[in-house]
Amino acid sequence: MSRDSMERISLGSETYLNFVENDRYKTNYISFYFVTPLTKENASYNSLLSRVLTRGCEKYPTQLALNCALDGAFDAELDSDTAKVGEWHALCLSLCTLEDAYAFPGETATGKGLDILEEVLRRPYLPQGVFDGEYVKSEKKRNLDDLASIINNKARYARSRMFEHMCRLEPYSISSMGVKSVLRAITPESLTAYYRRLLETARIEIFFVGRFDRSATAEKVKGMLAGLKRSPAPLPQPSIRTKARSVREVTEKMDITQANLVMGFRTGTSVYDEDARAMSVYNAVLGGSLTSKLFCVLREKMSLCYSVSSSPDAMKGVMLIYAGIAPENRDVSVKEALNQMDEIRRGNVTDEEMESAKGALIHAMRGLGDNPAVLAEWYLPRVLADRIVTPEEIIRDVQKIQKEDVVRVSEKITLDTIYTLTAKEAET
Amino acid sequence: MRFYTKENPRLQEKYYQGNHPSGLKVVIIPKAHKKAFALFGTRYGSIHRTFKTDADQDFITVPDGIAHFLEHKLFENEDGSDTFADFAALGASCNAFTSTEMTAYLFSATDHYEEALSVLLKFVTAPHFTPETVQKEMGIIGQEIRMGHDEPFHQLYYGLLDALYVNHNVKVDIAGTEETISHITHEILYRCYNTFYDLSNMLLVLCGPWNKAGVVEVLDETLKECRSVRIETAFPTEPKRINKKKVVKEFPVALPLFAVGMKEGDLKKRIRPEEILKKQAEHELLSDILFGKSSRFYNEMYEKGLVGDKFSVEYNLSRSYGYLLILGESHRPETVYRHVRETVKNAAALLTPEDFERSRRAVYARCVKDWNSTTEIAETFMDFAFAGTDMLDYPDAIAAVTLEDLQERIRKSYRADRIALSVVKPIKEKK
Repeated sequence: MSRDSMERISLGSETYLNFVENDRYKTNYISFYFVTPLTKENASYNSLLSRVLTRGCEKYPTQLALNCALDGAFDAELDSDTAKVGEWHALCLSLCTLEDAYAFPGETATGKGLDILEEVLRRPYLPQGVFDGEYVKSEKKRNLDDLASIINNKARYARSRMFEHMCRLEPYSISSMGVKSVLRAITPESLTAYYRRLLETARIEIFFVGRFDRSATAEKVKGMLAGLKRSPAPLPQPSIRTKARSVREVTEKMDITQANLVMGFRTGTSVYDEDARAMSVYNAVLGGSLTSKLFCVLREKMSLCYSVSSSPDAMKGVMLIYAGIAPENRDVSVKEALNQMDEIRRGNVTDEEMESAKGALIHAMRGLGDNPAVLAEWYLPRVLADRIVTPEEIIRDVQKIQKEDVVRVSEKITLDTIYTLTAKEAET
Repeated sequence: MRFYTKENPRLQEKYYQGNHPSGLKVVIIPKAHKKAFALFGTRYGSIHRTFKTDADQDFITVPDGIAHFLEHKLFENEDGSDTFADFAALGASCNAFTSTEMTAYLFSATDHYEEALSVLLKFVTAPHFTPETVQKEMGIIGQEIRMGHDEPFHQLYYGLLDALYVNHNVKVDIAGTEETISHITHEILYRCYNTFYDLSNMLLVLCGPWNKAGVVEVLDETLKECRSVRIETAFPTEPKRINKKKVVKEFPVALPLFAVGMKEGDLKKRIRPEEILKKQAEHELLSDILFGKSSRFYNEMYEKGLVGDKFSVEYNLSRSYGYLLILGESHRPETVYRHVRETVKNAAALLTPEDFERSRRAVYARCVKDWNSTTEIAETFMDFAFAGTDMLDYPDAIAAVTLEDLQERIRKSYRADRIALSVVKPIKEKK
């Protein structure tokens, strides 16, 4: 088995173990994903559940007791969160533990950490048969606060606003933290029922990155999931629009000094297409690297911005261009970004640009395995889309991409939405 | 060029260190990772505002933000070639950063490491500043400054430093302001460069699958002997008291952000490396025990709904300043501030042997985990090295701290009258 490649074991009824062997780390990384279709309901429930689960469990009923137990397992980091993958949504429980070789003599860290994860997952704190009312109430408030706080980071806020406009009738626009109206209506009873349903019906993907004994670990996981009456339904395919109908322009104002420009595109190329790899190279040429056209022209040549980039999401067949600019430079920035896309369409891409773009992608693939959590997150969309490749296979594919391939994918891209978050005093 | 080896058997890590004839100190930390990482840094950051070398007549005070501006400008080459493209051609990716204490240039590569190292050493040792290129950078950095201006945590952080410090340069924004950078000229850039970018003031840290002999060959080819300048830096005197109790700003945020800081009063001019490491370990343990995620403070605040999970605690320590930093979001920042003061007042009584044992284990494990990524190892190593200490010794320094050491640290550093609050709160709608 080559380095950073993955061994996948099915435990039946939509439950999979994924092992990535790696001995370079001082840590072991484990993540449990419970994957559902992305709906307002699922996103909201997953988000609140992820918070309530780590407030306490039967064995460690308070957060203080739970955190002290984790410290005792050599700072086992138990993280409970959600992940949005295209139009799927997952509740994720992850654990990063110290590799046993570095624990104090005679002690272990990973086994202890995994035991705590099992307690949190399978034996939550249900004082009257349902989640604690106080925990649900206070975590709901925090969830709503966090949803409101997206506004604090202007670039991130502008991106999510852009998708809310561009994909307003598609699940893709739903926030990973859920939606206010659904969150407000959740009760301890409904959350408990959802928890039970999630464990029985979600697709389960489990990643082990580090040093693990596979058969012993598979047995351990079977034990952790024992007693569940699994009845999962296959995940629905994402809805992918290949073309924009018309261009929508939206401008919003705030008390800020910098304008945040976000342009949204339909790429016509997704993870399911043969051209998926050519699309990655296209993005590196356009705005995905420090030698990209957007970086070299908008930033280095025209001094319009400090941050500028393009990023595609192959799971949905969309791409965005982001630039932080002076409010008065909005029109010139839009025009020049589109002009650079036209340049690629006309075939004005040098051999150096092609080589640098491919080099950046290859470098990123080779370095993936240096971070255990990143490696698991990288494999997740690929296993869900049933397009499993290793970083090495991607490198081989990327090396074969020619300029014609890049020009071909560029022709399929259409502009959908231009969103600008700008200063209050700026003229429109 | 000779290297000596230092090992930490418990950690199963080691490094090679040597002095290149050019005057540059070089550290190689071998790791079997795919990514080779290189970090080339100088002890020159935003706090170095007034200085001279032994060759200069007078001290110069430079415009705020110039160390960071210089970092941007070094990427420009005399022949007009693009540094980013030079790295990209080798499949490497480069970057740089400026902090209060240092400026560093870096790259990661998964192939052609030695050629990339040669590019790094060459561009950093060949400045090329002209009035035109300086002018061009104003727009780019201007947008970087505005990005910081619109970033609430940036405002919160500098608000706190302004509350804690009366004169210390640490309170000055690393990037400067659009006004201060407008005074930067290519002549002043050269003066800064010729002072601080002498190889004797710099350090090269390499982490990953590097080959010693290959590295030496690149160093021999690219580096010329340095002048070994003696740098004198003048700092304003800083009183022990804080500047003000509270700084409040209004920005478009959803709920108030708070930063509570406690200013270190126990600072000596002359301090041995072991003492610095011990003090750092003591502070890290104390902040974890008293304010960390397993502390009574945090869990009480959390249960009362006063803080959320966006909450962090750290202790920043350098030779000339130090402060405890607690950050988070809260509907009632003043109440959090009062609780921090209470906890600091009662710190000695709150410290239990059980908490100490638990925290020692957790903080030790965190330090071992720092040895996971080549990037993080090299950056942390350089931080320690510029402070005069050694990252490889740190886990053992933590294991060696006793409960009595912590009681003594509380007596020396924990003072309720040196705690300040910074708040960024939502803008009140004007009626």
